[in-house]
This record gives sequence, C-alpha cells and structure tokens, in this order.
Amino acid sequence: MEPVLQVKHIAKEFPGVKALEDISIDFYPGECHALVGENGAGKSTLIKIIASIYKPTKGEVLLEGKTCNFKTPKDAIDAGIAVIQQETSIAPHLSIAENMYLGCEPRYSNGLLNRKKMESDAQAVLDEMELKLDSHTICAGLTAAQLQMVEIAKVISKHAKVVVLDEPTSSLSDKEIDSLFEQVRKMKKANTTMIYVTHRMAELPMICERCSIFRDGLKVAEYMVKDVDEKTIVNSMVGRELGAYVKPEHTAKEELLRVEHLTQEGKFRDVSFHANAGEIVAFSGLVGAGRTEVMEAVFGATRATSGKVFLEGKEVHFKHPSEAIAHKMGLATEDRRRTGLLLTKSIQENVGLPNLPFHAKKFLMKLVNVKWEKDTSEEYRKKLQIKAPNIQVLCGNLSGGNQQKVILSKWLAAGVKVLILDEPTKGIDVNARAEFYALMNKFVEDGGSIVMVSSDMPEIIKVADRVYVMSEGIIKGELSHEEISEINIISLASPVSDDEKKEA
Amino acid sequence: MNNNTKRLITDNIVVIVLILLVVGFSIGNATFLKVANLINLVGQMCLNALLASGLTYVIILGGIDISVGSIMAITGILAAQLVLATGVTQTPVIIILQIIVGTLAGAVIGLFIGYLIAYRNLVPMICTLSLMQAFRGLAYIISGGGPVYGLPNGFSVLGAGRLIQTASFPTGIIPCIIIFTVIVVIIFHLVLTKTVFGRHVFAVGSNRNVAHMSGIDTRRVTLLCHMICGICAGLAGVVAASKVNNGHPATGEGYEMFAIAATVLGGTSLSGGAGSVARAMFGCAIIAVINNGMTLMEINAYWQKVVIGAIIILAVLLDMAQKGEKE
Repeated sequence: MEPVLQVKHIAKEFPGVKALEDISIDFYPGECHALVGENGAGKSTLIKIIASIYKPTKGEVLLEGKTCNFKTPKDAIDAGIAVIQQETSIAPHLSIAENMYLGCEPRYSNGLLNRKKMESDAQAVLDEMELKLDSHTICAGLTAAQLQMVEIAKVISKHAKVVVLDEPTSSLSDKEIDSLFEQVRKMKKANTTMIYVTHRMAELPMICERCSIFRDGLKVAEYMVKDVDEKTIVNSMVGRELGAYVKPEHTAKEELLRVEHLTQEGKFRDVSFHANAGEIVAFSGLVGAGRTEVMEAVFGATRATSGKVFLEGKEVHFKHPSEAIAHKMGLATEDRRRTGLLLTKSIQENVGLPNLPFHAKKFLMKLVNVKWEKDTSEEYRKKLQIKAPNIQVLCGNLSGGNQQKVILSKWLAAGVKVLILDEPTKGIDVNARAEFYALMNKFVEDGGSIVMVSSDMPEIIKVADRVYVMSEGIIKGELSHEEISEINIISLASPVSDDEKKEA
Repeated sequence: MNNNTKRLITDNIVVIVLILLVVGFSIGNATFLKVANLINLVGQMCLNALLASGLTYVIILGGIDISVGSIMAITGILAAQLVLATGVTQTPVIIILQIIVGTLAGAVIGLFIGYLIAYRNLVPMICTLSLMQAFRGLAYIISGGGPVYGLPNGFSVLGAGRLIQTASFPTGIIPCIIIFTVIVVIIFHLVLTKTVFGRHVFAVGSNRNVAHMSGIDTRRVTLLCHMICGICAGLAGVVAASKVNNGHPATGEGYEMFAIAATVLGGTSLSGGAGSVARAMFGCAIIAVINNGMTLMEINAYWQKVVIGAIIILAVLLDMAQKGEKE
C-alpha cells in the first residue's frame, strides 16, 4: 500500500524554541493515524505544517508522492487536505448549505449562485451521513456536536483525500462521540486518509490503526494500535525528562492566601483552597477545567460572582490587578507572548512595568525612576542569569525560558509574597525548566508562596508539595505529599461521563 | 551598505527627507530660505504641531482621533464669545482666558470621547468620525452660522502677535504663536517620556492585555490620552481663532489629515506602541515645507492635498516595512 501523505524530516523552530525535530511519518489511505502526546508536545504544530499554515524550517510534505509547494492554507485545501480544528470555523449566520460550500459555491453558467443545487447537494451529503439536519438551517442555533458534523459534511462534500481531526471529542458527550466515530469509520471505508489528534488513550483502539507518540517536539514511537496496550503508550508519552532537579523538603509556614467558596457564573463554582508560606501548591486538571479562570479572579483581573479571598488573614476585594500587586501578589500568565510580556520593549521596561508607581519620584506628576529601574533589572538579570548581553535587549528576542525569567524578575522586583504561575514551563526546554524550578524553590524558601497551575503531570509530581485537582469548574480533591501520583490525579481529573452523571 | 549605516538611515529618515526637501526648494525658489519666509513657515506649522502633540498620545495607544479639526472650531468660537460677553480688553487677561477656555473645553470634549472609547468600547475611528460631524454642526449652532467677530485687538496677540521689534522688523521678529507652541510641545513631550503615565501609554499601546495584567488601569490611560488630545486640539482652536481675530465655525476643516500625517511621519506607529512628540515635529516641518514650497513654486493647491495623502500612505508603508524586518 502506498502512503497518501508523507512528512519527511520535518523540523520547526520558533524564535528560541524548537517545536519539532526530525519528524517523519507515512499516512495510509483508509487508515486512521493517531497523533498523541501531552500539551506542547508538537502535535498541533505538525498539523499546522500539514495544513500549510506554518512553513517547516526543514523537511518536506509529500502528497501522493509529490512534494507539496503550497503557499497558503487554501492551496492545501484545494489539493485535498482538510483540517477540522478544535474550534469550528463555521460562520454562525449562514445556513448549513452555505457553510458547506463556502468559497466553492456551485454556479450557473452565467456565474450566478446556483442555490438550488447547493442546497440539494448539501442535503444529499447530510442524508448520506444519516444526520437529521436540514441544509437550510442557520448554524447559530446548532450544538457544538452538530457544528462538528457540519464541518465533517463540508469535508465529505469536498471529497478530501486527507482529513485531520484536531481533538474533536474534547467538547462532546459520550453519545456524540459515538456518532462522530461512526462518521470516521465511514470515511475510512471511502478510503480517506485520516489523522486524529487526541490525548484520550481510550479512543485509540476504537477508530485508529496506527499511532505516533510525540514528546517535546520529537516523535518517540510509532505503533500499530492493535499490538500495544494503553500502558505502553502512556509510558512513552510521559517518560520525559524534567532535567536535573530534585525537590527539596519544604516546611509549610503561616497561611498567606485563603480562598473561600469562590464562584464565577459559568466558569467555576465553590472553589476553596489555601496556600502557605514556604510551599508550592499546584492546580492540576484538564485544559478547560477552570483553573486559569480561578487564578484570574483571585488576582482581580476578572470579577468573581461570589466568595471570599483572604491575604494573611485579612479579607481583600481586588477589583483590578493593580490592587493585588499593591498587596504583594503577582500572576505570571500562561501565554507569555500575549499576556505576559511587552515583546517590543526591553527587559528593563518589562521589569519596571508593574513597579513604576511604587518607586516614582514626584514632581507635579509621578516621574519614572530610571535609576531604580535600571539597577533593579540589572540586578535580576544577573541573579536569575537571564541570557541577554544587557537589559536593553527586546523581550521578543529572548528564548521562552529567558522570557519566563524576565516575568519572574518583574514580580520579584515587586516584592510579591504570593506568586501565581500559570503553566510556567510551557514551551520551555528541559534544561531551562530545571533552572526555573530551582528559582521557584528559592522563592518559597525565602518565605513566599507559589500557586502553580500546570497540565504537566510529571512536573506537578516533581515540584508540588500539595495538589488541588479541578475538573469542570470545581475542585475535585486535594492531594498532599505521598498521595501525589499520576494515577490519583487522573482519577480525580477525568470529567464525569454522562452515565455517571445520570446516576448521581 | 552595512547594517549600522542602514539603521542610521531608516531611524532618521524624516530628518533626511526634511533636509532634502529644504535643499530642493531652496534651489527651486530664491525666496524659500529668506528669514521672513522661514519664520512664516514655522508659524504655519504651529497649529499642526499642537494637534500632532495630542494625536501622538492616542496613536501610540493604537487609536485615532479625527475630530480634532472640529474641536478647534468649537473652542475658538467659545473663546471669542467669552471675550465678547465679559468685555475684557487687557491683553494678558484675554490670553489667560484663551488658554483656560482652550484647555478646559478641550479637556471636557476629550474626556467625552475617551469615555466612549475606553468605557463604552466604541471603535476610535467610527466614534471620532461621527463626532467630527457632530462637533462641526455644534460649532455652527453656537456661532449662529457665521464667524464671531468684533473682538478687541488683544485677542489676536496669541496667534498673530510678535515679540522683539527692531528697525528692520517693525512688527516684531518672533511670533507669539511659536513661543506658545514650543512650550506646549515641550510639556507634552516630557509627560510622555519622563512620567509613569507616559510609560503606561506605551505599555497599553504595545499590548493592552499585558498592561492590564501588570496592574495598569488601561481604561483610565485611554481616557487620559484622549483628554490630552482634546486639550491640544482645544489650544490649537483658540490659537487659530486668535490668528484671524475671529471665531469661525469652519476652522480646522481637514486639519486632522495634516496632523495624522505629521504624527505618522514622525515615526509614531498606527498600530500603536511606539512614537514620540518630538519626532512628530519633524513630520510637521516636512508638511509645512511641502505646503510652503509648493505655494512658492506656484503649484496648484489641489496638488498639495494629493501629495499629503500620498505621503501618509508612504509613511505607513515604511512603518510596516520596518516592522516586517524586525519580525
């Protein structure tokens, strides 16, 4: 059997980060090939290269034996490569038929839209899929699962050769997943090449023939799914290095942060936790469990609907991050490039950013204390060993690990006692991680308290003194010291299936 | 050409263009370099310089205010009416009144615009485009449809008066308008470069989310930037009224384009995050030189509009090209 799609020796580098290294995979027709790995392992980057959204730094993509020289994502679509993203790309105000034929509408010979043909063709595909949907329906009223079906109908109507599904089941119920898999099997029967991105191991034997395991931008293994069990796959997925860092024993001291019954409508409810001086508390859970939202509410970046927050025993009501900062609390966001750093500004300006009002000289208005800013950022550049020749280097030119150090510097300079870190080592390479853990450790040993949100289980096990596990907006449990294990976390973090919900 | 020279040139492209223009026009026309013409030229760029100082703030934020020309008309008329109503005749009192009216009325209007943009989330372009129309209408309404005139001589000192009379310059050498503009420009340059607020303006302009998460009240910063833009437009309005010694509802029509052009030429990025009041002055100088030079060379005034429009496009393209290089 000849492979339909091949990627050969693909490498992709972003400034400061190696996202993929030497990836080669063959994809065969009529087969479903799973790409599995943790968040940030490089699955999505590979998908984007296949879809021609990114250009690979090295290597090539071959479709039916020919090198693809696609210039835009549209070229890839025209050549028969269809990607169904996690977020559907359906235009809500258009009908199902209009969405299915968007950009390739059937026309009369005079160039005008042949609406009749478009709608009957769309209906034929929907009926073929045995969906009870009318092609005239406006998409705005459809459920997430129905929208996904419309996406699949769109792909089928285009007779795509290669169909990529990027974590399609993350927002679906069990029943909806069944009908999705039914469609996948039908497409396989029609000899379509399927690529399936997931991190749910249980789904593999149900629809996939092969799977490739990704870890830290490398393809670490490829298996025939029928030959391996789930454990083997999980082991190759998580057996990743965390660098030379050994967790020292921490002794928790006085309580610094206490959160009681915090609720934000539609995001999380009844969240209670506390963090002590001298310890690292982690929040584990799946992406979308509501952890980031909790932290943002605690920090005053968003408003909670109800609940209380105490700092060192005193109740606080932060309406804006500035108030949290004034109370010696800092938050390093998950997305450094979008919410963490001013990429077009220097290290000095970024370190100064939250601190200027507190060190200003007064003359009619608050004046920037440039000397303080320079001295402080220089001090932290040296102390945290930020790899930059001087503090005037623009943060956009630093690697992920060094960017994270700049963010840490700005909060250390603010003298924070409670530091919230959201996915602190995402996109950071192994060695920089170990270095960062050591800095976190130093911070708590000096009497600070760290609340760390992480989706990286080995990281939590390696770093945290206590773990709260969240799922679907509520805290499912608390683990401390010897209880912290992958099995315990997973059993708490998994969303309740529909059947269990009914029983409850 | 090595990288350093290349950078030196791109960083100082406005200065180079300005010098080339001055050289070109001096060769093309003998009167261009005469002292009288140069003073005249600097006087001409003052209104634009006032507007550009304020616009620099909102453009650094990634916003825009195209209602500045209409604001000018309103404050000019208000100052004229106030002077008539109070009947003051002493020059210093009139000047103080003009500055107070320009500042206060401009600030109130700017706060209103800032409120709509920062707290009601209106898109700056749409918001100020609508207000440009509304303010122009208001200017005609409060003025009764025509100019407010019959003002005491003191009213014209700020815009048309000159200091230091000599034998060869019986009316004075240095126009008051230049002194006033230089003071205002220096103040707003210092506020932008030396204060914590100024730093926050750059932070909000480069990345609103990062600024918010670093404890900066991004809405307040946006509000204040529009207030500053309003103050600058308000001051430009009273100076413009003083220049012609009446308050005219048609004052400032089309001035927003010159001011935006000057700001962008001065290296302030329309996508926000970077810019400078001082450098905007080079932009003002380029526009003043082009207008003045083309007039001296008797080139049709309509062509000046075409040239200014083309310059804005070129400046934006240049800005985008430099950004692309960095990425």
